[in-house]
Amino acid sequence: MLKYLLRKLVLVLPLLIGVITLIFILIELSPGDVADKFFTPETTPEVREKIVAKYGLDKPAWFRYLLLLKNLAVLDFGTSIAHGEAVTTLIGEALPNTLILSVVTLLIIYPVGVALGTIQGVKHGTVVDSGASIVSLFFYSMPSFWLALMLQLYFTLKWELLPTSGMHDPVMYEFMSTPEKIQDSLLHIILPGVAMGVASAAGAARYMRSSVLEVIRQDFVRTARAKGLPERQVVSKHVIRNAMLPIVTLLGLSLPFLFSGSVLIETIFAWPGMGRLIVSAIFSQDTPVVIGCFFVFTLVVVTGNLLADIAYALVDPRIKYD
Amino acid sequence: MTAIVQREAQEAPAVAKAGYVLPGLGHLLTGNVVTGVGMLSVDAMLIVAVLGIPDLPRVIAFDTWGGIPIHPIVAVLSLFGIAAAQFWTAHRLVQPKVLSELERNSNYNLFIREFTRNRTGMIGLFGVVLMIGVTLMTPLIAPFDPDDVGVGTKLLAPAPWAYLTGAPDAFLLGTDVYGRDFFSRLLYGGRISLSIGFIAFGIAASIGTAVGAVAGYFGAWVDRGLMWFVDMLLSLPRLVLLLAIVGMFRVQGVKSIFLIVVILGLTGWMGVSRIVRSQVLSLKQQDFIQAARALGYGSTRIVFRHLVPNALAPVIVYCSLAIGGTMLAEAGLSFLGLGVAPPTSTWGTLVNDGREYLRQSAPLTVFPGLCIVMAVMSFNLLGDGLRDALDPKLRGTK
Amino acid sequence: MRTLSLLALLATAGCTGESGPTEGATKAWETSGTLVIAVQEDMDNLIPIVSQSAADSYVEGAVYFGTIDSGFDCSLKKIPALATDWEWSDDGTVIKLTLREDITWEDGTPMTAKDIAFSYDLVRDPDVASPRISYVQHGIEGKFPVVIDDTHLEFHFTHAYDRDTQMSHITALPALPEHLLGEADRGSLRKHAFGKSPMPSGSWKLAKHEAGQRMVLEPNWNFTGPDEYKPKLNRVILRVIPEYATRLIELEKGTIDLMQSVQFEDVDRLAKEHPNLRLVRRGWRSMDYIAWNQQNDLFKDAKVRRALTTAMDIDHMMGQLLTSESGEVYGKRSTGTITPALCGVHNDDIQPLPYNVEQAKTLLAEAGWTDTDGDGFVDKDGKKLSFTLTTNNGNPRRAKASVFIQDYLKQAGVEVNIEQLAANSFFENLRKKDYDAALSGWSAGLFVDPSTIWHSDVVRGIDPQSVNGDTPNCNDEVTDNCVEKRYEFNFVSYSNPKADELIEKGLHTPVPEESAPIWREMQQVIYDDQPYTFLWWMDEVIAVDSRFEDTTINVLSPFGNLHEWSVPADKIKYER
Repeated sequence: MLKYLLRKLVLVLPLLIGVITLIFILIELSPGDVADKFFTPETTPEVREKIVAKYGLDKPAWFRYLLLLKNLAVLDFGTSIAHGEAVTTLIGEALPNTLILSVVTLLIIYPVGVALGTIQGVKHGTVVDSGASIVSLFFYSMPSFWLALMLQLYFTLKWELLPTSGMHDPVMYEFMSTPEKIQDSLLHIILPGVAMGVASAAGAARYMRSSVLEVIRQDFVRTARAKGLPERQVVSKHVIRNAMLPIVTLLGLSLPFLFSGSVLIETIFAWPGMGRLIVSAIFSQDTPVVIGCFFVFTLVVVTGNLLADIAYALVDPRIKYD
Repeated sequence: MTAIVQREAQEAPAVAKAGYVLPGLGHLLTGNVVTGVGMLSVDAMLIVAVLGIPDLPRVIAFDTWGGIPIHPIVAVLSLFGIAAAQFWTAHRLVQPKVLSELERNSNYNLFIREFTRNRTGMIGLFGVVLMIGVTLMTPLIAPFDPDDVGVGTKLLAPAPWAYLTGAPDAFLLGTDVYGRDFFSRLLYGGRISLSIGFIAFGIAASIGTAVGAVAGYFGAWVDRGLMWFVDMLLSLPRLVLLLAIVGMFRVQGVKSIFLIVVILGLTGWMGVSRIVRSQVLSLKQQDFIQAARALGYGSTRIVFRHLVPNALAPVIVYCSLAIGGTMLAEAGLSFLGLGVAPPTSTWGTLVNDGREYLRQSAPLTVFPGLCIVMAVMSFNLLGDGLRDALDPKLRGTK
Repeated sequence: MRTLSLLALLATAGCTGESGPTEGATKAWETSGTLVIAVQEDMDNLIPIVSQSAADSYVEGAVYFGTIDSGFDCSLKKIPALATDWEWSDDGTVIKLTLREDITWEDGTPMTAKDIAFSYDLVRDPDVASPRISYVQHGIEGKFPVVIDDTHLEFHFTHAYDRDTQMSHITALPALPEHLLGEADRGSLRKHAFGKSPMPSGSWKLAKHEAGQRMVLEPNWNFTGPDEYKPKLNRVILRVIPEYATRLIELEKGTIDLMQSVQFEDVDRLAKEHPNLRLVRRGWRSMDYIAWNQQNDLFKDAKVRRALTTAMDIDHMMGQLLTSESGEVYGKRSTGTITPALCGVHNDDIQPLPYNVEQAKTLLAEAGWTDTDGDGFVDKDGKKLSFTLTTNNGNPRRAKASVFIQDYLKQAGVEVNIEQLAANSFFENLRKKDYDAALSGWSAGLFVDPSTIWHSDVVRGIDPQSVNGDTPNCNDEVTDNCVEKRYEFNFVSYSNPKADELIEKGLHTPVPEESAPIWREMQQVIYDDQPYTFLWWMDEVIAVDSRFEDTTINVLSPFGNLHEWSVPADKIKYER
C-alpha cells in the first residue's frame, strides 16, 4: 500500500510540471505583455526598464521558465500584477471558499444522487427507473449557470425562501450568535451548492444505476437470494456495498468538474472563490495568478484522486497494491 | 420459412436497383408501402439538407438571412409530422417481415432490435432527428430575419395566441432587447449551437481516436507518454482551460466561431482516446490482428484499417454523450462573454444576453436554457440507448 | 461527527479576515442606520498613489481627509477641506495653500504639509511606478510642493494652464502619513499592509474587509475635524456583486440600498413596482461617437464626413437605444467632446446636422461620389464607397448602433461592413490608426483639456484617469477608460490650425470666465469639420432607497459626501 502510494506520488510531480509547462507555453504564445499593465504614457524609460527587470521580462523564455519552476518548487508563486499582492495570499483567501462549496456539495448533494441511482438499479426496467432516469438526465444536461439563474429568480426573489448571494448576511452577520452564524452560512450555501452540484449528483445517479445493475447480476447476489435472504437485505448488505466502490473513485474524478462549475457559479452568487479569481486573472492577463491557480487546481485534483484511491483500497480488501 | 427466404432471394435485385435510385423506392415497389414512405420522407429531408448546402458558408458565417415567411406553426407541425412518420417507420423497419433467419440474428440486427425496444433511446433519437430537421429547415420556419432589429418593439412578452390570430406587434416568443423576433433567433441560435457541437466533437473524436489507437497499438513508452498527457489534461477543469486559451488569445471578430470550434475540439478528445485505447488493447490480442501482422501489413494500415473500425462502436456511444458536453462547454464559454461574436448567436450566448434582462423579460433566459437542456438530453438519451443496445450483458433484461 | 466538523469549518470560513465589530472605541457622537452599496469589484489597494480600481477610490474618498473637496455646478467647485485657503500668484504658476491645524491621523499624529509633500514625493519616485505620474508632469521638480511650515505649502508649475486642471493636479492625491510609510520599501509599496488597512484621517475608517465579499466602513471615532464632517450613519457596507442580474435581484429584495448603472429597460418597472426606490439620473457622463480615420483617403474630405453624418437618423437611434419603456430618453445629442454638464463651457448654440438622405447624397456628389454603375452604391474612379466600421464587442448598445448605421448609410449609397473586436485589440487598433471608421466612446472630463484629442501636435496622450481627475468606473462602460491609452488620442489624425490655435489660447488662459468663449468657438470649429460623427451623451441611472436623506449623487460621484447621509429615526431598517 505504502509503496503504491509512493509510486503515485512520484507520478504527481511530472503531472504538475506538465501542467505548468502547458500554461507557460500558452502564456508565451498569447499576445501582450505582463508589464503592459504598468505602462502609462508618462512612464519614463527608466521606470520601464525597472518594471521589465522586476518581472524578469528582459530574460529569454527558457530562463524565465526555469526560474518559474525553481520558484514553484519552494511554493513561491510571485506577486499578482493586478492586485499587487502575493499570489499565495490571494489563493489562500479564495481556495477555502471554493473547497467549502465543493465539499458541502459533495457531502450533501452527492448522496442524494447515489440513493436515486440505487433505487433505479434495483427497480430496473420499471416506470420508477425510467422516470428517475429522465429526471436525473434532465439535471445532468443542464448548464449549471442557467440553473443558477433560475434558482435565483425563483427561490430568492419570487418565493423569498433563501438569500440571493454572498457567503453570509452582509449586514447583521457580525451581530449573530454562533448558531445563528452557522445557520446563516448554511442558508447561503444552499443555492450555489445545488447549482454547482446537481449535475454531478445526477451523474453519480447514472453511474450508480449501472453499477448496481452490474453487481445485481453477479453470482454472490444470486447466492444470497438463493439462501433465502429477504430482498431488502440482499440489496442493502450485498448490492449497495459493492456497487458503491466505483462511486468512491468517481468522487475524486468529479473535482475538476466542480471546479469548472465554480467559474460560473461563483460569479453569479458573488462567492469569493477560486473560480472568480482565475476568471479575473485571465481577463487581466495576471500571469502569476493564472499559473498559481492552475498549479493549485491540479494539486487539489491530484490529491482528490489519490484520496479516492486510498479510500478505494481501504473499503475493498480484494485490491492489493504492489 | 424457406419460402420467405426464396422470395427474398428472387426479389432482391429489383429492390436493390430501385433503392440505388432513391432509398425507399424499392420498398415501395415491392409493396412495403409503410417502409417506403418512411424512407422517402427521410430522403426528402436529405434533399432539403442538400439544397441547404449552398447556404452552408452563410450558416457558418451567420450572414444575415432572408427567411421565407412560412407560418411557423404550420411548419413546426409538419416537421413533427415528418419526424413522427420517421419514428414509426423506424419501428416498422426493424420488425422485419422479409428478413432471413440469418439476418435476423446478425449483430447489426440484434443491435437495431435492442435499440428500438429501448424506449428512452428512441425518445433520444426522436429528439436528435427533430433537432436536426428543425435546424435544416430553419430558414423555412423562422418567421423573421433573426438580425432584423426593426420587426418589433423591444422586450415584448411572448404572445403566442395573439400572434396566431395575427395581431400586430405580437410575437410567438416575444422580442429581445433590440426588438428582434426571439423565436427566429432561437431557431438560428440552435443551428449554430448544433453545428458547433457536431464539428467540435468531430475534431475531438478524430484526435482522440488517433491518439488512443496509437497509444494502444504501440504500447510501451508511447502509451505511457500519451496517457500521461491525457491524464494531465483531464486533471484540469475543462472550462478553466478553455477560458485560459480563449481569454489569453482574446479571440475576436467573426472568425471566433471557427476558433471556438477548434479549441473546443482540442480540449475534448481525451475521453475518446482512453476508450479507443482500451478497445485497441483488447482487440490487439485477437486473431485477425495477429493475422494481419503475419501478412506483413504496416502499422499504419493495421491501426487505421483494422483496429479503429472495430473499436468504433463504443466511440459512437461516447460521442453522442460528449456532443452534449461540448454544447454545455460552449454555453459556459458564452456565459463568460467568450462565445461567438454577435450578431451570431448560439443558445449559450442567448442565455448570456438574456440574463441582463432576467427581471424585465425572463423568457429571454428561460427558453434558450430549456433548448440547451433538451438538446443535450436528447444526445444523452440516444447515447444511453446505443450503449444499452450494444452491451450484450444487458440484452434481454426487459 | 462529520457534519459537526463541517459546520465548524463553515463558521470559521465565514469569519476569515474578520476582526468583529469594533470594540474598545466608544461612540464619540450619535450615529444610526446602515447603508448597503453594491459594487462590482473588490478593492485592491488603498494607497492612492498606486491604487486603480473603482472600489479603491470609493473607500479612499471616505477614509482620507482630502486636501480640497470638489463640488459640481456647471463646473468644478473647490470647497475648502484640509486646505482652508489658497492663493494664486499673478502669473498663475504658483499656488500657496494654507492648511487646517486640527486634523490628525487616527493615532493622534497631526496631518501636516509634510504629509502632502510625501504623497507627491512618492508619485514622482520611479521605484513606485505610479500610474498617477502625470499629476506632477507640469510641476517643477523639487518645488512641487515646497513645504513652508506645517500648515503652509506652495506648488510651483512650469507654466500656467487651465486653473481647474492645475487645481486637480494638486488636490487629486490625498496626503499620506509619512510617519508610517516613510520607511517603507518603495519598490514594493503595492504590497504594503497599509494598502489593506489604512490609517484614516477622514471621517470613516475601514473597519472590515472580507476579500471578494464586502468592505465595512464605520465612523472614525478619533476624527478631529469639523463637526459637519462627522458621519451620521452607523455603517456603510460596500458589497461586491459582480453580476448585474444578481445586483438587481438584491436591490428589489431590499438587501442593498444603492445600485449604479441601472439599465434603462429596468427603470420604469423599478419605479412602478418599488416605490421605496429613488431613481436618480447622473447626467452626461459618457458619449459615443464614430471616428473617421483621416489617414484613409475616403475620409480626408470634410464634405464626405458631413454627408455621412447627415445620412444618419441619430435621434431615432437614441429613441431605440437610450429610451425606457415609457419613452423617456436618457441622453442628449452630442456636438463635441465637452460634456453638456460643463454648462459654462459647452456650446449650446451648435445646431446638430439634421437627418436628410437627399442632402447627404448631394454632398457626396459634390465630393465626386455618384452611383455611375447603378449597383445602389456610390462610386468614384470605378471604386465604390465602402468601408469597415469597427467597434468593441461586449457593448450591446454599440453593436446595435452599428447595425442602424449600416442600414442608414446603405440608403445613402454607402456600403458599411461591421467588425467587432475584443476591447483590447480595438483600442490597440485605434491607437495604431489601423481602422477605417470606429464606433467608440469617451467618458466626460470635468475640466477642459481638449488638446489630447484634437491638437495636431500631440505625440503622447494622457491616461484618461488622470485627465478626468476622477477614476472612471471601469465596469459599467466596459472599455472606454479601462484600457490603457498609452499614446495618442488623436485617433483620427485631426489637424486644423485654427483649432490648434484656439486650444493653445484656451489652455493658457487661466481664468475660466475668460477661456469659456474660446472653448465655445473651438467646439464650433471642430463640429464644422466633423472629424467625428458625434452621436450622444448618456445618463447613468442610480437607484437608491428613499429612506436616506441628504444624499449627494452627482456627476462627480454616485455616492458623494457619505458623512452627510442620514436615516430618520423612524425609518431605521437594521437594528442591532
